[in-house]
Amino acid sequence: MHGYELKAAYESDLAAGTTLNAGQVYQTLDRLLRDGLVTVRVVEQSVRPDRKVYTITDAGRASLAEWLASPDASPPAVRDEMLIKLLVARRLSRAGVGDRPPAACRGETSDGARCGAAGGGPGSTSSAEKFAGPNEVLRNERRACMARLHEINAALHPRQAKDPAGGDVRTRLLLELAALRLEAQVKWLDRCEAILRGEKP
Amino acid sequence: MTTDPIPVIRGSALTRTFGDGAAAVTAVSEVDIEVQRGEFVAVMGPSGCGKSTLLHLLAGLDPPTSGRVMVDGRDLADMDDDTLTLLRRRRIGFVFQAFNLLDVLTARENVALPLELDGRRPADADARAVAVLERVGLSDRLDHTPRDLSGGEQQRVALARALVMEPLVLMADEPTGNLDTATGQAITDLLRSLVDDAGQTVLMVTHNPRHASSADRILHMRDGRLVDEQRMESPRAAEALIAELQG
Ligand SMILES: Nc1ncnc2c1ncn2[C@@H]1O[C@H](COP(=O)(O)OP(=O)(O)OP(=O)(O)O)[C@@H](O)[C@H]1O
Ligand SMILES: [Mg+2]
Repeated sequence: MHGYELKAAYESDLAAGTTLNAGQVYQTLDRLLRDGLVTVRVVEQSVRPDRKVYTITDAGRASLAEWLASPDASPPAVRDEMLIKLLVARRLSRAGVGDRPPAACRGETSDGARCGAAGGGPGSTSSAEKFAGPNEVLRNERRACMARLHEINAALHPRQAKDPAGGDVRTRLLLELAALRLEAQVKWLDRCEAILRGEKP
Repeated sequence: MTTDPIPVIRGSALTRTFGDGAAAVTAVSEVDIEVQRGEFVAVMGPSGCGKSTLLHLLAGLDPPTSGRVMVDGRDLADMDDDTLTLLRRRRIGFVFQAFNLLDVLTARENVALPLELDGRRPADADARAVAVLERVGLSDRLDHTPRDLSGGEQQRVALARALVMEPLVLMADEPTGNLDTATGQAITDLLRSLVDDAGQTVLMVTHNPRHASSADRILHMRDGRLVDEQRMESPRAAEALIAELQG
């Protein structure tokens, strides 16, 4: 294959809709060449400029085989932004400057959110300077995840289904990955809520 | 501003307490809820927060300790037993958390049962049962008894039985509860298509975030109370979503 073919294959198969910058392609090929994973041969062309055709080597094949067979059980980064947000909210709330009532009670939402037990705990006052408490942080994140999931479901099963976005395999796999990660996130939020709730004040 | 149409289901200040004295458990507390015609509403919340109890109250299966339930504008408290029985049989399709299928009856007999109880001719009831089983994707399992069906298939029979009377509202308590991801998703997609294609009103209880997210509106319950409500916005074009997911 030559560089342009590689770029086109990547763009159509692996990440449709994105464009790979040509510099990146040739930089990567140079690195593969340096490491002996590919060889290059220059093909003269009568009309167009000469082009370089790359061929995988045995070492390259072995490296590909190893990469494919190795798991990618990458654990989520422990420095998760939401975790930090939640811990900050918990700290502020314990210091008495968090746990403002949920937005709906302050009249800030228009979508019919309700006030209730998930909002400010006993003794919380509705002072404008207060920060979102852990429950509000959890609630906002949960809402965002659910809205995202709703979109993913709609993309996989559009109402007037002729050619669902989930029709091509690559997109379907991507959407399923995103959906299951969001699902895990919501389940984690539920666990956080239960654990924080069980804490002694 | 236009006035809202009469909701299919309206619960006002619903409270249900079991037992009394020190042992009293308030399973549902001061809940206000409305479901409009053609809406798909999901109720989520941790185990024991009162979801099933709330659904039973709204379906007239259990009387509230206080508060009222209106179905299609009619107060359940004003109905005598016969009227309530007819309402439950004809207007409300209920799928129980444990499917409650009759083991000795085949799938088609289970589904035809509500029609026969309602006095339809057996041949008509059977034809209609077969049509609904087909709708839920079970045309090749008509003569199986529940014990010879998988969990997902039993769930579909339970759905078909709840749908066979063409109810005003379908209430489903954890319809995907014990199913694997793919089967649970298929049931949820089926509910979604009933709403989209047939204008069916659906009120569903679920633990599963993804299944709940198929609904138009999500209600969160904690300790017997509704604590949050989220109305889903219409999704963006799939292309925009996919581009964003690809980073
Ligand atoms: N008939 C009953 N008698 C006494 N207590 C009851 C009765 N039915 C429910 N409860 C109690 O009411 C509370 C709410 O129960 P409910 O079945 O509504 O919860 P749920 O949210 O449906 O839980 P799950 O997700 O586990 O199905 C629980 O504490 C339960 O023990
Ligand atoms: Mg229940």
